[in-house]
Amino acid sequence: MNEFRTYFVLGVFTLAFFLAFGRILQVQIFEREQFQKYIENQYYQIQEVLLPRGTIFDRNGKFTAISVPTLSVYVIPKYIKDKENVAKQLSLLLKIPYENLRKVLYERKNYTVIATNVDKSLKPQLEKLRSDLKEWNIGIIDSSMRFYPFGSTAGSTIGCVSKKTGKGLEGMEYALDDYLGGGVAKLRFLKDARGNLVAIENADITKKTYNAVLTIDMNVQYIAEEALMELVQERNPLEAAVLIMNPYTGEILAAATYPNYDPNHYESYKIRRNIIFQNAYEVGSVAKPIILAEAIDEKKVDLNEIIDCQNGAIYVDGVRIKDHKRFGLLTPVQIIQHSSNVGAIKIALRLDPKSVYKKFRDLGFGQKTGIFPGEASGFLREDYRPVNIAYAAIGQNWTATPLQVAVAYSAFANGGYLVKPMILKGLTDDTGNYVKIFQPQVVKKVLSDESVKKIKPILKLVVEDGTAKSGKSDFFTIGGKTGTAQKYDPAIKALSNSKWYTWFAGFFPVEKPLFTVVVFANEPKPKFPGEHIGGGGVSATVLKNLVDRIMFYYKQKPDKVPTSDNSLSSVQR
Amino acid sequence: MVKSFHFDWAIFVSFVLLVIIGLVAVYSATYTATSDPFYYLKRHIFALFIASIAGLVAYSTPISFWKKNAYLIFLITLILLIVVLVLPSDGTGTKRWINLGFFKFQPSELAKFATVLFIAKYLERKSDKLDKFGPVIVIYAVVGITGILVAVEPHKGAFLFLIILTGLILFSSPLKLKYVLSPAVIIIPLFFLFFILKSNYAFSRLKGWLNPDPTSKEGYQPFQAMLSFAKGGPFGEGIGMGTQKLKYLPEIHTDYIFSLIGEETGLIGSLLVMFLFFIILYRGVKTSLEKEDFFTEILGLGVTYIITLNAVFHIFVNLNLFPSTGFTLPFVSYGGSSLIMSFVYIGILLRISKEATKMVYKKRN
Repeated sequence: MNEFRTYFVLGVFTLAFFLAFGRILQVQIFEREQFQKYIENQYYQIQEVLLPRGTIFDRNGKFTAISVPTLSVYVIPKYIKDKENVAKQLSLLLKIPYENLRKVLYERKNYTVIATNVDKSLKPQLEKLRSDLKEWNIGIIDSSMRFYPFGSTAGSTIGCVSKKTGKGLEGMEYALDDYLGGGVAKLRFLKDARGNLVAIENADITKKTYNAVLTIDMNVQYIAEEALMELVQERNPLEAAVLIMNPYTGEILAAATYPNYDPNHYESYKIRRNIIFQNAYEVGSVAKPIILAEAIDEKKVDLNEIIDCQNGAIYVDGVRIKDHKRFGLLTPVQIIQHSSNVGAIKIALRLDPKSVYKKFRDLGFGQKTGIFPGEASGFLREDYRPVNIAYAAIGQNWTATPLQVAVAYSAFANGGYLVKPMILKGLTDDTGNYVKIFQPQVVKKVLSDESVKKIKPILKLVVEDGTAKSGKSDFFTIGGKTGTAQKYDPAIKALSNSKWYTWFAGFFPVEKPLFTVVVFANEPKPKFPGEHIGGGGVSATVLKNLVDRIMFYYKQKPDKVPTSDNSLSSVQR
Repeated sequence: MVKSFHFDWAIFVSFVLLVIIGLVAVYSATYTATSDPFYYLKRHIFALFIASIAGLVAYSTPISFWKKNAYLIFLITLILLIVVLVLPSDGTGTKRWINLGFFKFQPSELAKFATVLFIAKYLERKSDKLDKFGPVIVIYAVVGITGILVAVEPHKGAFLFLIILTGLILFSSPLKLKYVLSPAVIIIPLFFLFFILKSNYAFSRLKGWLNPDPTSKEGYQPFQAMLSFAKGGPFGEGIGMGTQKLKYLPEIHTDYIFSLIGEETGLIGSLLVMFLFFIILYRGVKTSLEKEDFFTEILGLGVTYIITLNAVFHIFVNLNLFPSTGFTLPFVSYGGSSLIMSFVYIGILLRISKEATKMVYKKRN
């Protein structure tokens, strides 16, 4: 053999190996970046999937918000062979117009999601369709959808979850984001050359989620909303609300608002506020019993004394404040019973201004309770001028949320204690066991036993034979106070004489109160021209429809001995 | 005279390592392809078993057997090449295989070995006329005919392979260089003529090779092969972790197994494979040149060249330095015929390493 030439061949082969080595270096090291992008496109498909979120239960374990598993369907049109047929079949199955699908298949090239929130039961059918047509570039991805079985009932309280981000948008859904989990996961799918998903990468879906149990009782909520709707139909207010609370624990049993919305279709509602927590209004005469309580505590009033109500008007610091009726001589009890401004102001002016504001603050006014997102704190500025004390006494010039009013009136009901309101009862895990139970909190005693003892009968009198008597029940005793606050009218730059906030705040049954109730309406309209708008008249419908139903729902025996007259009249009516 | 027990351990170890690499690579390439992840592996192991027997037989066969039967084997091969053309096609339009039921035999694989045997035998017989032009013409003519039989299968890659193999063997032989290179006188002008006449087409093909278009039918596979290497990077994605096997790179277990190695073991693995083939080449050339017998020398070089050429072609195709024409990587790729033949070559090479070496002292004339 020719050794030299043989080694030359060996050298040529060696060169070939080096050439290959150089090429490997080029592709693997130097030009790798250029290929990376292509690799990413070829292999991976980023898909955002809504993660399942914890369930929200009402206090009785009813599902109020639940994540339902759904499907998303996508296509990779450039790999779809028989576009016409695929469009036809998919449109039948997914109930999407054929034309739309056809357009997608012809005009798009790459990955396109054609349907989301598809019922999971369609999965086998879709898979069969895919294998029958041998179109492997129709893809199915598991996703989830938030569903509210009760629709709009308690909608504004439960809130809603964004359909895009899967995070809470409003209400308790928003407040509970940390516990319920949810959100979107960016799934990075590895697919094979036919577009089948092979593996999921980078999915952070192991996050621990809990279920939440609310203090809301959906039955009570429903009763409250029905009662509220009666009011809305009767009075056509801008806003209205009914709040029912356990006065001892602060548990909110029902929080009905108008306007309300259906969280299933939250996107079609412009206003998604929950006025019970998020708006504060002037409370009107609802403030008067608080002033009286302070006066009793300061021992500056005798319930039997006679106060001159000056024929319905008083001047304080040169400002004239009127009554809704020309009252003459009234006892403090009558002042509350008939809601005399002049009388209440006269009592208030006897008090230490600082103590008045302290009492308001003690009762929870002017500060957020921290149980609901976007809560209003209410406006309560301490101003010790007599005119301001006068206005404060009749619930003007300062504002409170319906929730704060309920907390304050719970103190009258429960013997004088400030409770922290609750809407979240606890958290459960997947198996339904409680992992955390939130205990009711009594913050402190804010009303003296004496004042509670003296004021409760007065509040009962208000309903039985006072401003709220049109709302009284035939079976149960109710205690409470009406309020009517004049709205500030920007048009006349003064307090309006036709636009009102009306309130009823109270509790029932009077002796052993089970429920605190607050009824609120913003700008209720008169039922007939010239009707005098007042908290009692407006709230009466609600009380009529609410109190008996709730008490019977809770299987309570009537605490009122019905007089034959009463029962007869109710039958006749 | 057969020397005492001794064979080339470097060749043997490289061979064994490549077989092991092949075993892992074939499993990795195919475990997602079928519902039974071991379907291809089982068949590969079976082929390895048959191939080992063939290799052992080849190792035990004295070189004199090959010398005696070289023409016969060549003749049988020619017949088989004709038979494969006569037999009905398997439906793919190509007639490359003879279906033996349990495995498909590829006569073109045998043709490589037969060609080497023929050249070795012929040159040995004409060893007194090595300075003449005649033997060169005869060899080119006979190989040409064999090559045409292969080319009409059609298997153009194997045809090219035979021509290059013959050229390399003749180039290494003591034949006169001008005679050996004489076909170039015809081929090179033809090549240029082709280029001038169809320059646009040729250039686009050339560009297509080096920068394949992933969306075209021809460019897809080469591009995916390059993607494999890019994916692998210096250290690879990890054994079994490659994804090109997910139907992205067709034929990954046979014609593109080097891409899989590049993807899963990166630069390091690819280099190791190339290095092992280089050792076989180097030791094969070295031992062959030491041999006393002219036929043994040519046979040794021939099988070494077959193995190396196969490897280089395979690697070049995988790296898109050569158009995709279907070469398996010896010892590594899945596929019965090539595996069995590769083992036979190693058997022969190890046998040759035991044969008598040249006298240190030259014979006195």
